[in-house]
Amino acid sequence: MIIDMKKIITIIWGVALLSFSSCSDYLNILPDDKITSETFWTSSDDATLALNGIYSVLRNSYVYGYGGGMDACTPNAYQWAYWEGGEMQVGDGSIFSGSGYIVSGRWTNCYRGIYRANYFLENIDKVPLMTDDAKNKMKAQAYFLRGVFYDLLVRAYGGVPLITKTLTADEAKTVSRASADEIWSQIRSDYAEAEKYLPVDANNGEATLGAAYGMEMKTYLYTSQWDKVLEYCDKIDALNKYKLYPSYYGLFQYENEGNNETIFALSFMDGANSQGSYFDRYWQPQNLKYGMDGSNSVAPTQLLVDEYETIDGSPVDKNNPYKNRDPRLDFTILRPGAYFQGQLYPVEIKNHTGAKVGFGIRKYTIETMKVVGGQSPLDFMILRYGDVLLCRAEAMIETNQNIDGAIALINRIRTERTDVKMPPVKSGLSQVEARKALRHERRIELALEGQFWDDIKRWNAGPEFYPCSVIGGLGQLIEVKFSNGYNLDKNNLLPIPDSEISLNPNIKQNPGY
Amino acid sequence: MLQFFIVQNKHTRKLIRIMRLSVLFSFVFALQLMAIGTEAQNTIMKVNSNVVTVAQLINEIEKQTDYLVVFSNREVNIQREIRLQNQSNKVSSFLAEAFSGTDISYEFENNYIILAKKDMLKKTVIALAQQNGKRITGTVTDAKGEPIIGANVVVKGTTNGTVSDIDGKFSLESIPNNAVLEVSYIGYLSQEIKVGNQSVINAILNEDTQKLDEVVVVGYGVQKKINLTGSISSVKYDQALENRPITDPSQALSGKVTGVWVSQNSGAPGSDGATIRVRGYGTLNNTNPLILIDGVEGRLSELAPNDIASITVLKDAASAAIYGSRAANGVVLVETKKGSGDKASINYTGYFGVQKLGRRYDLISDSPEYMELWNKAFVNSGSSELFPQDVIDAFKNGNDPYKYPSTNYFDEVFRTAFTTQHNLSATFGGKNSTSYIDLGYLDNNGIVKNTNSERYSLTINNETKVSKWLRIGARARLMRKTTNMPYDGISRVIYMMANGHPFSTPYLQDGKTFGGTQALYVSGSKAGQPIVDTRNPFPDLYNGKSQTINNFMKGNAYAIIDFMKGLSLTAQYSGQYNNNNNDKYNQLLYCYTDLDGSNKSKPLDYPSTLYVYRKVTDEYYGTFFANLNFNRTFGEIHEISALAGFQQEESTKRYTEAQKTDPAKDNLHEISSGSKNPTAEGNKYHWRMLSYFGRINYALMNKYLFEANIRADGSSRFAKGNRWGYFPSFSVGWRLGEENFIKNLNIFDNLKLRASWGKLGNQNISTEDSNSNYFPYLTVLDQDYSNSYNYGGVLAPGAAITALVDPSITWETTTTTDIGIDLGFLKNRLDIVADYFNKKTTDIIVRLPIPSLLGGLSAPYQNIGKMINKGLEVNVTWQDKINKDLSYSVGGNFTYVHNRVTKFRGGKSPDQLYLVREGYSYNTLYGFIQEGVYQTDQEAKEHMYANGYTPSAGDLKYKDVNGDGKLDYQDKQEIGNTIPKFTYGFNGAINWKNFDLNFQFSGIAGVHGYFQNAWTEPLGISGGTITKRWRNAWTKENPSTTLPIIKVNDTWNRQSSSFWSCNMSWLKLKNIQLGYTLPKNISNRLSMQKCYIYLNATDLFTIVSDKYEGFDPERDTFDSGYDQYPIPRVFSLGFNITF
Repeated sequence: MIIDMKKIITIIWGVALLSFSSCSDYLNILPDDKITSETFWTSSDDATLALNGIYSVLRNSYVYGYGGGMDACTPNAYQWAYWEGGEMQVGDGSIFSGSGYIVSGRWTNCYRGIYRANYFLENIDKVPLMTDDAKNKMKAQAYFLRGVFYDLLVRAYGGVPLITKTLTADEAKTVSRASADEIWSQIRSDYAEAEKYLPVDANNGEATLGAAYGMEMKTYLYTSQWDKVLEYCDKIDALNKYKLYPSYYGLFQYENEGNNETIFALSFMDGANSQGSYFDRYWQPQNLKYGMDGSNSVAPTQLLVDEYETIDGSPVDKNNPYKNRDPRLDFTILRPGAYFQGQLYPVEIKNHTGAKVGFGIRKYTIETMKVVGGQSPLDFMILRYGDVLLCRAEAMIETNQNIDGAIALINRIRTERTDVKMPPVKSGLSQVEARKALRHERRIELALEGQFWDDIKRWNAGPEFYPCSVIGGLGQLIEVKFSNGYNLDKNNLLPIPDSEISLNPNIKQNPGY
Repeated sequence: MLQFFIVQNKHTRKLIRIMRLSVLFSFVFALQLMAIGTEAQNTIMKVNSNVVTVAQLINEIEKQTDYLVVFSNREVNIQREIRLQNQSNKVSSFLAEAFSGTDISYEFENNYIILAKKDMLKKTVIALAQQNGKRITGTVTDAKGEPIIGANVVVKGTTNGTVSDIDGKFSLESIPNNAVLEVSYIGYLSQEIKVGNQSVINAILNEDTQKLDEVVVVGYGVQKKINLTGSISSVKYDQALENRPITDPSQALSGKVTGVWVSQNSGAPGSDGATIRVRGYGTLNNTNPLILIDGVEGRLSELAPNDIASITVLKDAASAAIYGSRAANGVVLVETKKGSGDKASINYTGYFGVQKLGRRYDLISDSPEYMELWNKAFVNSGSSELFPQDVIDAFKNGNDPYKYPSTNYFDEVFRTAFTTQHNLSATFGGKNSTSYIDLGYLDNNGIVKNTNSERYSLTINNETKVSKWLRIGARARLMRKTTNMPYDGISRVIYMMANGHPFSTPYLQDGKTFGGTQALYVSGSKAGQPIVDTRNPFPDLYNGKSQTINNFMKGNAYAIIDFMKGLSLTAQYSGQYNNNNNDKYNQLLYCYTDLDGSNKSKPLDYPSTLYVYRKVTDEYYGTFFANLNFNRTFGEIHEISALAGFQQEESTKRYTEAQKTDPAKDNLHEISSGSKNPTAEGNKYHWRMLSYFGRINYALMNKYLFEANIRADGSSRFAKGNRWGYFPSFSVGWRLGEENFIKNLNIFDNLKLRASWGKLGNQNISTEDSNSNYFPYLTVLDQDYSNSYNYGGVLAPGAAITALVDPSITWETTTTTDIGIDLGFLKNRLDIVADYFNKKTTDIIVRLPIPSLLGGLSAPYQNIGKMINKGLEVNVTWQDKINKDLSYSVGGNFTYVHNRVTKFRGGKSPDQLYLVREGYSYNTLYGFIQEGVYQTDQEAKEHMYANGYTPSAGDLKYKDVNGDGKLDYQDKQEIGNTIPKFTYGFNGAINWKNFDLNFQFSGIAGVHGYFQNAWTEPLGISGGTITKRWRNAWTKENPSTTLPIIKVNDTWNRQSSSFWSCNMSWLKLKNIQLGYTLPKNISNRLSMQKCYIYLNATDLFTIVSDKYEGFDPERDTFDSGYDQYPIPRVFSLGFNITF
């Protein structure tokens, strides 16, 4: 056999070259779709990306993304689908440390925002070619947002681990809980930092000075520091920017978003870029004119409906129960016999479980156009001026200095809007009477806006409201909430997720769980 | 001295054959004359006259008998007249009369009559017999009657021989009666056949169980089976497999191979491949074995089953180590068919089958009963009844099936579906070139209506010998598969079925309008209105279309250079391109309760917008490898082979996704027709590898065997410095059976001990495509919509870190020890292979839970986990041939695997249902232990005194493990393992004359399944089906201790618990086949060379626990099996015809 050895040597060389020449670089490849940390923080655009990344956490359903559905934690509403978030279980006392849903969701998502804010604050100074002023304005927003996240945590769980830098996995396994007071002071210091540089005006959804004042004011409200509440209400008013929107109905309509009652809002937009709200999907009924596949998954209860006054103070007409009622009833609640999307809302309102839920939600749903599920553009107001007025009134009542002044503020809510003309609360009430009027007004004015849960807790009013019965659309008993009674020590706080405790024994459980 | 014999052939009278018999008389043979048959000599023949010439007599003999008369002109005077006493006489008598008194004598020799001088006759006869002999024809077949192509047929002690052709036929000229034919073929026992007076010799070769010369496909080459030291199982894709109605080759391995567990999870046309696990779950990550098709990584689904020649599974580290980092989960080597033989042949295989749904969920489909149960569930949950009694009565008394339906949607959604597969292949062979071409077609209609898949495939394999030292070859495979499903897929249809009600019909009276719920109020102000909304799966079943077109192209070219004897170089480049197009569009379909348009409704979560969507995925994988092979035997006792090579691989996968909504008209389905909400996504994933490998085999005296492998792999998935992994292995074998002291025992026909040790790697963190899996060492900022925000209606892109990383991440390592024994007894009819294995995987890439305080960041991938798989596998086969017509074989295989996670997260923690925890088997079921059912509220309250929710009578009683009066994660325990401890299969074949019967059982044992899902939970998550077992649910009157009370929105009884698990051992008749080979004379008359017809049934019956509710239990045990497309039962009639 004769072989051309030259040829073969060539082949071998070829093979060898192929294998060795490629060796050094062949394996060095990088992803094309991701920013790696090595190349980040090199321009102000990077800082903007990171800041927007913090804001995006607000949209999460256990932060503000469930909107008024949070009222399902209260007697105001009932979450028919137990698997949808745990608000039902919070509202009837059956929530436990392993429930997941809101228990671990609120915890994880707020800390997500905190991690991002910490990461931002640690790195923003690395960015070249950016003025201190520009950096400070961005930092102010990060501080503000960190305050918002801690605010949600402390209200839900009490004292939580206080984390102001990015932790490693090992560090995260050793931290322990700070006291609620320590958290409150951290929040206030974050808001104070924010207030130094936040602008008075900004785009819809962006943090402003008013938002920081307002959120800080509410921290004092939760801790019953009434003088501070008044102080911060003054600061808000001094901005001379906010007022009551003339229409209660219009306040929650898409065309009016960003109006001057809005102090801080969760911003939504439509389109398929995951920036829309799910409220219409959750709150609306099924098979309506515009075809929104709503699921009525949170439904207002008869208890809330009963809370609405009649306009003239007379008893509710049993045969015509929705006549002569506070107009805010129909602006908030979709009740049998009402029109929605131009169609008569069915007498019998069922959700997708086939159960008759009785009532639907009108507030924060869009009637005038077709909305794709999860793509509703309607903003959700986290803080609005009506709330501020009521906070100021509450502080005035609780300090017992100027009850009539407080009543006047309540009456602004009851009478100032063109479409809400309720008879004014009469002056000269005692502190106790005024408190009752205030609490009623808060519940009605802010119904299905997710405020009531926090109100019940800070008022320590659980035992007053519970046990209570949820009655379905046919008058049938659905459930007794807190059938064993409301335990303030336990039920004012959520349990710490047990997954967290099992990874870090330094974290102690809340009482009763 | 030249002499001529003149032979007159009676058929070609004019032809005179002149045989050169110069040698004939030159030799004197000391061989004895063979016995001459006397029958023919006594044949009676007639002549016309009493006086004839010798020539005339010879003529008549040849005319009237089979004899040829052989003589020399010089010796025999054929013009001589002879006088005959009788005109009718024996041939021998005529001859005796004719030559009496002459010096000529005669002799009968086979078909010849030899005339010669008396003294020369014997020599002549012997010489003629020796040298000239006769023509012998015959066929070589295997025990089943299948022709063996290319068998050697040689006259013993000579070089005179031939090779059987495509039909197993051979012919040999000039074979003497005393010759002995040796018939041999690789993998079969050689046979010696004495020729005697036969002229047609049919040889039936029995498979050589010891297969001395059999070669087995191993990594980058082949190896003699007797020299194997690793643990390898091989499946020949013979008649039993080739003719099964399988649609994806992976299905064929079920129950066939020890140590290999195959489970088919889906019967969905077009994506019904099975999962293959080699020796259990070796890692917490991707446990798919490496599949190599003709040496190149691929997917079994790319092959038409008919193209496969053999499948080999490399199970231990020693045999797989040559594939190093990719081989930790075993290697499946597939060889496709090649051209062979020396003439063209065309083969057709095909079948026609019907498919049916096998097991199903046993639903209550009687509407009144269903409504009453629903009412009861409402009452039990503290609310009032939903369905008024007059509605229930109306259903009880109503006859109109459209007004008062009781529909079982299994009967409506499923169908008996037709499936057919055809393959036409051609093989060409020649001295220098062989080719195989196959055209395949599969039409698989799903058992769910409106689902089907069609596949066209083309395979071309060619190899050409260019010169003495160079062979080049090329293979090409093209496939196009079109799969049609409803818009939202079958899971959506099943979702609607599982959450469905019996009181609607698919269609109203017109047979095309979808039916809404017929549970309508019959009285009161709401008369005529539906009580609950519509759950008819048909609007989803017939909603638009989701069409997936898969175009697959693969080509490879290789060259083999033989430098000298025993030294060769193989180099191959292979590229494969896989393109997937998924087009989807939907419709807006409505349901009505009457043809007048009453109660227009849509099913739950039915889309309200028209979408037009396309996703295009393409993937290119290219690899080049080259290896030097050396193989020499020195001094007849040292057999050495060695291999050295390198390989580089690269894979790029891209996808583009686009969607719009609201097309201008609803019959427009392209994205451009959409008018709103355009979205687009696209990404690219990329990895590369570089490898060097080598192997040495050494066999001493064919008895002592040694092998060593090494492979070094570098991967782009890891950071520089952690990139390279080194994977060595060693193995030894001792062919104890060849030692005289064993031979002398006369017990074993084969006895071999094997032992191996080696390390393998794994880098496949997940099968999911995301760059965190492709670059697990890089910290990335995810810029996507979920991390973006918007201000004042304007999108504000955002980015965030969403995962922690460990930059030092590197290879997982699996270390396997294997000890095996091969045994052959009773003339190799009984064959036993047994192996013990111990597989330890370390540095398993896992994400350990990290505190949520880190903001829900994904935990970093780290090399932390450890796992062991220990086990035993035994394969026993017995084959025997009772007589010419009857042979049979039986075989069984059995594997035991013990799996333990030895390092992960330990201790008590709130873990998921499928638990991964130190000290437990991987994916152990984890939940509460059901102890019974509370019979009174009091009992429940006392037991769960500290619990947030207080259960009541009829609720499940769970074990309060720590006795604290409340139920939490501390009370969760192991409730069963999901990795089967035992997998087994047994099979048999009987061949009787032209019939054959094959069957295959397979099963698993020592395994639990979890079946809590929307089917099995009464009233699902929101309405929904109720299975029949809930008829026995707890009530005060029926104080069941096993089934709880039936409720809606029931959280307590739906917690993960042993109530929802059961033993999921099963045994099934996977396949049974009866075949018949047409007799040759009939098939030849039909101008076929072979025709085989068979009847086949798959998944005919299954034995499984009574408690198990669900579809066919052959499925992923890591899943509740809720929305899987059930595996059909298939009955088919098939043909395998060679022309």
